[in-house]
Amino acid sequence: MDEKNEKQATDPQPAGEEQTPVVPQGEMSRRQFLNYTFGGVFGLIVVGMLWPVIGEAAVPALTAKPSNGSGSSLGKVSDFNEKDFKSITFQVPATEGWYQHKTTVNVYVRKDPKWTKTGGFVAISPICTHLGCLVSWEPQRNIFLCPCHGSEFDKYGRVVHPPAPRPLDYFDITVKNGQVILGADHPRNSPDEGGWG
Amino acid sequence: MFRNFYRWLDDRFSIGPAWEDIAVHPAPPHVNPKYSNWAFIYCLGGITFFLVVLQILTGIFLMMYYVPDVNDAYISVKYIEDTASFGSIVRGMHHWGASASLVFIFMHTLRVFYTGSYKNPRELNWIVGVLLLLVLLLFGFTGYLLPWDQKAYWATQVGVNIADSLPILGPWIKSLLVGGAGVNAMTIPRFFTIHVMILPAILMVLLVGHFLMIRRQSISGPL
Repeated sequence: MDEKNEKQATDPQPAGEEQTPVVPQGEMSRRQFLNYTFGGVFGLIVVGMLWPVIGEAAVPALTAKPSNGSGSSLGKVSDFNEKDFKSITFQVPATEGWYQHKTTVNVYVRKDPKWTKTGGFVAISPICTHLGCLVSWEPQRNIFLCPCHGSEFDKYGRVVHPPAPRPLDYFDITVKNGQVILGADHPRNSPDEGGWG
Repeated sequence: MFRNFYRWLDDRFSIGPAWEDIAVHPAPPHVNPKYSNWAFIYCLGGITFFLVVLQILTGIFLMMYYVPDVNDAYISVKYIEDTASFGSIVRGMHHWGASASLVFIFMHTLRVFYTGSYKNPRELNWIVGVLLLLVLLLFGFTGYLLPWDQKAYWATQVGVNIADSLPILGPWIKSLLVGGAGVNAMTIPRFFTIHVMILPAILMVLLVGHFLMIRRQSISGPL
């Protein structure tokens, strides 16, 4: 059977006749079998090489958690006033791959009775919603100004001047034993979504 | 002596014809400064290639001192700049060469565009050229972070947040690019790997294709 197939495959045949060896119904030819075997082994080797290296590059990157200052005390209730933002900067432990260090968290805090959702404290993240630069509070103009592309935000973090697409994030605030405690970060999607009510 | 050595090589490898293949290619009059005052516009790609070679050379020697680590990156660049002999010159060449190669690749692209050289049959070479332009831009982007100073940090912050703003895939691309939730200590060795290993490999393949195609198809005709 095998000998017959081989003979047919190597012999030159007259034009117009069937070129492939005679293979019984439901069986594959030797050539086809070898093609599949080589293709399969080659594919396994390629996958076996790429799977670990891509995993090594991608998994730690995609599973890394940003460190935040949730749970930290920002100071006493009496430290803050309604008129002006106070810039609070503190350090929290951070792990970036093998590198363990302290990273700086920056929050702008102001009292505001209208902002009832977070206990009458407005706590604004200074990370610009445009491309991630740090905004700073301009007391003369009553706005947050981004140094990179000139975005401006009002005293509730809402956009008053583009290119920023959405308001600055705000944080939950709880008051415990007279201490102002920072909570979770809240991104806002609509241009004038507030943190009250 | 050199003649004997050449003969010895030629006997074994028959390099005469091979060398002629590489070096001897008569240029048409419109790219020859003897016949056309505008022939120099056909030098822009060659100048870009020269600058890329210069970038590779200076980059290799910068790597002798540079350390892609969150604690050492800045001080190793400062050492190259302030202390190492000729360090500021080599880094200066790499710094200005980066901008210059982008200026020249852009002018080369404009030349190819205005002379219509991208048209049939050179469409594929145009595509490879656009990929080369993107690769050079990525070289600039990843190299900019490596000194790990304020400008590097914030420029990268802005750059990866532009990637982040892409619909659906944006956050994934950003995380894969920086190796974490944001620009962090892991971003430096990652950008370094892309800058000195991955992009040069892609660059070599594209450059070989670019040059083989132009040799095969020759320079496009005059306007």
